[in-house]
Amino acid sequence: MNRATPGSAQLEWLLAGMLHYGTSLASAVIGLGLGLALIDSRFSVPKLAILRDMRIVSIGIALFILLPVVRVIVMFIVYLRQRDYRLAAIALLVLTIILLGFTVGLAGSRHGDPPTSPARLGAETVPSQTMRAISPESNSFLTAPPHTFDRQESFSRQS
Amino acid sequence: MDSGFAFWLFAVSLGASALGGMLGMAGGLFIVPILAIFGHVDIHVAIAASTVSVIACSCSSAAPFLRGRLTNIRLAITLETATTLGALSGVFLFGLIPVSYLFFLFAAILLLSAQQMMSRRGDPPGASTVADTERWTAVLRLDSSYPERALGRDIAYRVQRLPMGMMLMFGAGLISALLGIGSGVLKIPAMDTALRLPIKVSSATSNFMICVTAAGSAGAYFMRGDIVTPVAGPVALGSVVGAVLGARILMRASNASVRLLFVVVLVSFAVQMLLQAFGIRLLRGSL
Repeated sequence: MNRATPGSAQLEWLLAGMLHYGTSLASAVIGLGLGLALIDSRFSVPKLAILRDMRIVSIGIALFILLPVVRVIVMFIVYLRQRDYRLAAIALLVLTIILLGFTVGLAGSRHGDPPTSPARLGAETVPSQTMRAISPESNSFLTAPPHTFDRQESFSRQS
Repeated sequence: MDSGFAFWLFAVSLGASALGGMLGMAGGLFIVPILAIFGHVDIHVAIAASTVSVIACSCSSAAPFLRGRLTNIRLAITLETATTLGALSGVFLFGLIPVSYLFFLFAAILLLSAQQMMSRRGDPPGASTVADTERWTAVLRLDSSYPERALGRDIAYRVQRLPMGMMLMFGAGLISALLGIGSGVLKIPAMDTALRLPIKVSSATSNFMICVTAAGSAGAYFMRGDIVTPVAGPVALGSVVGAVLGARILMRASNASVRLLFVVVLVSFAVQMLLQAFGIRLLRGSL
């Protein structure tokens, strides 16, 4: 190691462990949610239960998306403590850009948006925005009439 | 929903990710075409779901490279400024680009990947032979070394032409966000022709960067509601399991015939995507 700082190898092990356990945790949460949804859909329990299961899956997905963010935060803190201010600044910049992405997404959020929200206009997708999830060939997601179709609800509709 | 479709998504992602992992590629390159063509999932939904699986694959496979000191994390975080900026630009374009263009672009990337797969990669010429460190590289102390098992010692290398590498990385981030792939296909030229890294270092570093790049776009898609949970959940889980399996098989099956199979699959997907691009147009015309 010619130029590596003494704490460098330590940082690599820290990140490796973090990514390893983070992946396991997020996968386990998604697996739990999907497993519960599978069981619930077998026994045709009320829709609410499956909505709850899908929420668990969403949390797992969010964990996956947050994992790299945490990785950048950890790198920022470690570089700061090593007084490597240039790299710390770079890590902070990366973090800012990612968080800017979250903000952009939130601003373009389709919750309560009219079907032709600006983010979608150029996409020239199928007429009904809510029907976009899956095309007519796979009927499972489309048994609901368009106005009641909710993305999360789709799990509750049994074939 | 019928659990059959969830199983199908899980199985397809597992297969795609395992096959991708065997040749050190991201599964996203396969997942999007399969979901869009065979699963009849809307391409935007397929891309958003694939972005999550790209994060999952990259995070789950990063640890061994890090522990083996192959990843240049200083270089990775520096290049990530460019890839995340690219991803952010991709997020802006995502909803604005017509669907048929997305199919075209995807077909082009598939063909490019097929071509890259045909030409076997080696250490780029001029790797670690340049005498003096370049200015930016020196300022950020990016030069490093990696352990080479065959020689039993560490090999020092230098990072060259950082600005050009950054520009290529911006493009890679943009494509990554737009198509929901890891876009290793664009990172490899950046790593080889611009930065001139040894192949082991560039594979490890590019894999390490993919999750942060994808997080830049996935965060936006998640907040915007583009990520459809019943699709993205099984796909993400299948990808992680597939990546773990793929890494196990890697040692045994990276021969020429597997490579050829991949090229055939990539080209056939590219043709399908092109047809889809035209098909959608024709359909639109008739509506």
